Amino acid sequence: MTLPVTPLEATELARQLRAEVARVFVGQTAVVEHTLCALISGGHILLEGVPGLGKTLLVKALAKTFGGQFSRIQFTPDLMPADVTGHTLYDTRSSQFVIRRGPVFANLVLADEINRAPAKTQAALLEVMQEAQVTIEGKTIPLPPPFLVLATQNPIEQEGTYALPEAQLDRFLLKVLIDYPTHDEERALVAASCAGRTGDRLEVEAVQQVATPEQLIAMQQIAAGLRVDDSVLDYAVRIVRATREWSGIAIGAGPRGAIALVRAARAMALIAGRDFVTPDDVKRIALPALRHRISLVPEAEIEGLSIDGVLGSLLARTDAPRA
Amino acid sequence: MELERLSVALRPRNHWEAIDLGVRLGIHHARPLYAAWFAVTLPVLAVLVLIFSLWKGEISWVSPIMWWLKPAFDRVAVHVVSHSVFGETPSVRATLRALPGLLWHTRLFAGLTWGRFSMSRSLKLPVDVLEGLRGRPARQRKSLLSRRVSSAARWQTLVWLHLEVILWLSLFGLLAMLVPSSMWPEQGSGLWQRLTEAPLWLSLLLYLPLLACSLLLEPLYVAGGFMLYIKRRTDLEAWDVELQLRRLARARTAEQAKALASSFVGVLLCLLLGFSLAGSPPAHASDNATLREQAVERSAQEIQQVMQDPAFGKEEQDRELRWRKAPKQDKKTEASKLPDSLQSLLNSVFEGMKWIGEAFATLGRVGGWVLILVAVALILYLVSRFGWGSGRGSRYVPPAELAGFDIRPQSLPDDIAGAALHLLRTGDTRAALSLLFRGTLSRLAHQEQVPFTRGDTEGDCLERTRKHAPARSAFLARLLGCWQRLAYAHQSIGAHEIEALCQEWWREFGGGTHE
Repeated sequence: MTLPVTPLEATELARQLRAEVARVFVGQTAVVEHTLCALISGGHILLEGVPGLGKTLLVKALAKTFGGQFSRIQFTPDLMPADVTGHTLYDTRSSQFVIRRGPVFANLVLADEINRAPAKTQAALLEVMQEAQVTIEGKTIPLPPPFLVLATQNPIEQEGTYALPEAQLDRFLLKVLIDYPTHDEERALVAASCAGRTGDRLEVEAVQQVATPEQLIAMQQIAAGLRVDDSVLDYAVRIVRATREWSGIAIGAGPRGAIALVRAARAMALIAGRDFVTPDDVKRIALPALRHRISLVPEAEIEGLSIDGVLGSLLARTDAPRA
Repeated sequence: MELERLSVALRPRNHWEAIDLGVRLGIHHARPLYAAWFAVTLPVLAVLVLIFSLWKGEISWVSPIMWWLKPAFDRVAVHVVSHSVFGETPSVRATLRALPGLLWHTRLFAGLTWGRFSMSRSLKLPVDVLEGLRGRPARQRKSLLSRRVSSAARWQTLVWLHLEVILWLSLFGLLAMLVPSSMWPEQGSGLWQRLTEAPLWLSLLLYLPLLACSLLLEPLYVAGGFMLYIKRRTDLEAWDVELQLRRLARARTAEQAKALASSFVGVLLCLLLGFSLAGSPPAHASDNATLREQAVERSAQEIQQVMQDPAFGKEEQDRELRWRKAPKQDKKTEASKLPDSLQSLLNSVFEGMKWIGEAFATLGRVGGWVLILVAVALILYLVSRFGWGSGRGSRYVPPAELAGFDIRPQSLPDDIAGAALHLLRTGDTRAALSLLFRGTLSRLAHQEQVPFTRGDTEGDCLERTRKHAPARSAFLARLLGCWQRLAYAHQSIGAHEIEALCQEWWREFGGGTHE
């Protein structure tokens, strides 16, 4: 497999990745698109949705498309940081301390129900996400690229959970809401999942490997080099700055929000088959890129306004760029 | 009025006792009362049901009309109850004979219009029906009668209203439970729509309990109000005292007659003796004076005897809660003890405070009116500015600027494509394409009424055009592709491509000369 060198080749590769994932993960096109967007822009995703919507299947299928390593960590209240990152172990045969690597050493990590673990364990993972490396007993070990963490949260069960603080939420590139599939999608999904299957095991045999981790890294580099016109950059910054002054928003997004917005917009442009970013790319990814970086004023919450609704009205009233 | 013939005991009663007595009176005379009541109401109901079922095929309007006509029917109930209370229960035929008079001479029009919503109509109805007053005297009379008991009359109306609704819903619920669920109409539409489009049997199920409760309870409501009226008149005119005095007088007359009969012979003898002894008139007058004096002397003793009677002789202590008020008299006496100078100072202070209070009251009144005027003006302004509805009917006003472009028609040349071609020939490709894009957006917004908003990006504009002007979307998509490559990718666009777009522009929007 040759490395993609032009945006067109990268787009074709992204299309193949999507097509392979769609073989087992039926519907939820927006979720797949955003996950791919995060993968291409080298960011991490916070996925919010009720259990049983196929989050693990998505990550497993995506890992198989490029032959990456996949691991899943079920976050529980007694999970320790060492259970995530790894620890040292005294080997009696060699009379030495050996490092046992944790599940975080993979290309795609599914951190299931991240808000069930205490803050210390959450912080350990978030640090890994930021630095892309793990330090065990003073020894720094880089994580294998590409590295994507897909953390999930359950929006309905809040008892016994440790909500992620805003500062840590900010480290996720996108927050994607995963909803129930449509009737047709669910019917196709159930039909595909029940045909000749026994047990609950998630089967991804139908997915073919169409890329390599090296190709993905090349894709990321191509996306990072896409042209962003000044007016588009200005548009992204204006949107993020508007969140700080908008009535109804108590805490707006920081500069990291604008950076994430432009990074994600580049990936969206690549997926759309363009070698330049348009205001539409920015607007399309603005909700997932910003919804976890802002918080509403209590009055707006009492009135029943949602973050998406407020951001939607903000986007509708922010002037499109003057080219 | 022959108070002796009243079938209820007249005595001081509180409001609720009077209403309760009225209801019991209604129940006691239920047969004649309901016979006359239904003799009048049921034919009207039948006629209304017939008219509406034939005319509109539904009977939902019958209930409100029957409700509205209640004051007319109430006159019949008052007629029966008022006669029954004097022991002259009228027959149905007699009531029907009296019906024209009950409807024409009892201010029915007022009762059915502005008086319909009077909460104390049960109390005032007997004034119209029984006293036959009109105009100012009627108003004064009603005002006098309502003075202390109107709150009870209002509460009675409220309680009866709730009772009617509760009984209606209970009865409807009971009947509804007996209907199989498969017979109910489809769910999903609005409640009003379901009620208006409901089949006739469902309308009957809903409205018949309402009519039944309304018609059954109304005579008792009227009887309650009537007895409240009797109670008020008893209080005002001391009917109970008058009745007692009349009974006393009658008893006294009877005793005197007995005494007269037994002493007839003696009296005759006395008269004979008087004549024979040649008595004089002054002597007779002095006898009367003596009798009066004796009666006065005896009165103290007789009062003592009367007071020993169990009806009067016992002392009772009643306790009731009252607002504690500082006695005004005491204040005056206290104030009067003060020196004159201090008194005048205090008076002037009080006057000043009173004046300040009045000034504040006036200020508040004026301020209130000003606030109301401001609110009305604000509402008028908002209505004129934004219109009544935000959806249908309100005309779409395109924004002046879209995607960074001024899209007002007056800011654009008449022949947009021609002007763009001219710019292209001068070498300003960007300006040419920009003008073409701007002109397209302007035409779509002002001619095709595509509802663009100022935050719309190019993609949003295309989406809206696909939705509202699909015929133009293919051209706009091509134009947008060129524009995005030029504006955001900084790629050069060939002159022939822009020329083709200009030609297409003319075809889409007309005008210009095809070169």
